[in-house]
Amino acid sequence: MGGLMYKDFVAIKGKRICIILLSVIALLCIMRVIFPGSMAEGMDFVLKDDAGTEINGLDIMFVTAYYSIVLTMVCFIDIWCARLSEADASSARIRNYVSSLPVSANSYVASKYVFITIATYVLISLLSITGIVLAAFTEPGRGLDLIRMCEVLMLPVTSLLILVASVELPLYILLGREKGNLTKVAIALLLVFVLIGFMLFADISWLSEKTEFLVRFINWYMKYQTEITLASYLSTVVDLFIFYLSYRITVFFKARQEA
Amino acid sequence: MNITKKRLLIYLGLSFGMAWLIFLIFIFTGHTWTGSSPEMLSLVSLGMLTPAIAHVITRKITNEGFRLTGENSMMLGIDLKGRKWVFFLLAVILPIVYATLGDAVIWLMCPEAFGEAEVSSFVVIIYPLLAIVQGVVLSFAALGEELGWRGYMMPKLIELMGMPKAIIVGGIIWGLWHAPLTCVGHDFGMDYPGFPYVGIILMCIMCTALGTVLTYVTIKTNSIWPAAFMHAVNNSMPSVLLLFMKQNVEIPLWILALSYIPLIILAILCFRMMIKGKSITKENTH
Repeated sequence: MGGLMYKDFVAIKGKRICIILLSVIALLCIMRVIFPGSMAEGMDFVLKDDAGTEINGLDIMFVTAYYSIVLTMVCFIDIWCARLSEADASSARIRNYVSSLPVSANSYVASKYVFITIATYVLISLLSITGIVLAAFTEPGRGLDLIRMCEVLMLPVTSLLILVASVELPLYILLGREKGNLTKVAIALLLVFVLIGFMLFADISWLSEKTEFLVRFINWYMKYQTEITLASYLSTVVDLFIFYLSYRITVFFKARQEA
Repeated sequence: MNITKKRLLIYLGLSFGMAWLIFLIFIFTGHTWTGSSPEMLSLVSLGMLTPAIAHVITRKITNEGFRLTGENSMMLGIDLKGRKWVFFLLAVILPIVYATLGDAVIWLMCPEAFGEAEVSSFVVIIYPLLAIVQGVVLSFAALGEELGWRGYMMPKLIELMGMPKAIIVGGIIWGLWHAPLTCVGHDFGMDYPGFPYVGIILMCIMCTALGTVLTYVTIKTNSIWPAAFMHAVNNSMPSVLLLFMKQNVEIPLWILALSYIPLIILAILCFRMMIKGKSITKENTH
């Protein structure tokens, strides 16, 4: 299985991605240490919003860069799920070679799932380390609040990544890149149609009392804020179970495909 | 000089050098553990990654290679066969058990430190699970330490001096590695008799006890992952009784020391099992 995972690492151009990603993160952290938030006043980088609140421009600049990295990394998982199966299907030589290896459908599927798990773990760890370094040199205020929010969101983001992989991996492994993509779009469209159908035909009178509904929702959220935040952390456990279930289902169908 | 000893010294030099540099910068810029912002404390906690970095550099210098699994490897593989999954499960559950029992000892000795929980009963119920999830998902810092201490130092120490001595020496080294931070209030604060020497000694005892359990799960699974998860859950303060602890209450150091009793008992059990396991293996070999 180690060999299969190494093949996947090469297929996604892992070495190049690692070097670029680490260089960008290292550069961002070094720049942050050289230009901490406390320098903003001296550099005339303090802005004022409409309400007259002071905003540290330097901090906001680094936070924007951090959020861009977070978004890029989230996209990576989605792209890699597709790339993993594309590499196997793109060339007849690789396809024949993989099918001749003494590995079962179980090992083949497991290698993809383990690879995505490791990739998610590494990406989340890198994001956390970057967040810690940036936060330490950010002045209290809006910039720091944004980084703290990102730290709080780290576990729900992990959940989301696991959930995305649980849906995409079976599609790509069993159907291949093209059909997998088509099915993914079809599922997305189906969801949109269901939503439109609901808006057209269901009883949505509660939406006309939108303000009241929103106020009630916000009040409910404020009352149980801690509980909701903590429960969202636990979604990781549910998502891991779904991930395992997705793996078992993929193994079942892959074995049938090979037979 | 023995080649293993040379490798170990290189590793320890790098590990202590890099970590202490970070810790000393933190101290000489006027920070203390109790008086710094959470962001600054998190930054210093990244010093936990230095044992892993030292491990990698030492392997590069000494040409030991970077095998992920097997003999003389970095022990990064995961094998759940042969009931090894039980140790992974125990690794995330045991910290909750000994930390809660430890806090129960504090409650018995110092009941005035506890009061009503400021959170709902729902939070109290899910808190241990939350500590496990947070510990496992964000275990990179603990993995950094374990990759160094259990993944490199302990196998070398065991090879040099045998299991019992290695456990004690390893624990003391690990405790001393934390010494600069103990001197600025990490874990025990700064207001206790015998500061900071008593704190450093206590840290060495705690590290020896925790190190024994971590070494046990590492040996049993031949992987540093359960140790990393255990260390991470241990650091995420999994005891549910903490939710009932009052803020800003001074707990005497001797009571804090007594709270380590459950961990020490667990460590003694693990130590006995390791020695027993080793003697059985020896008998089988003969």
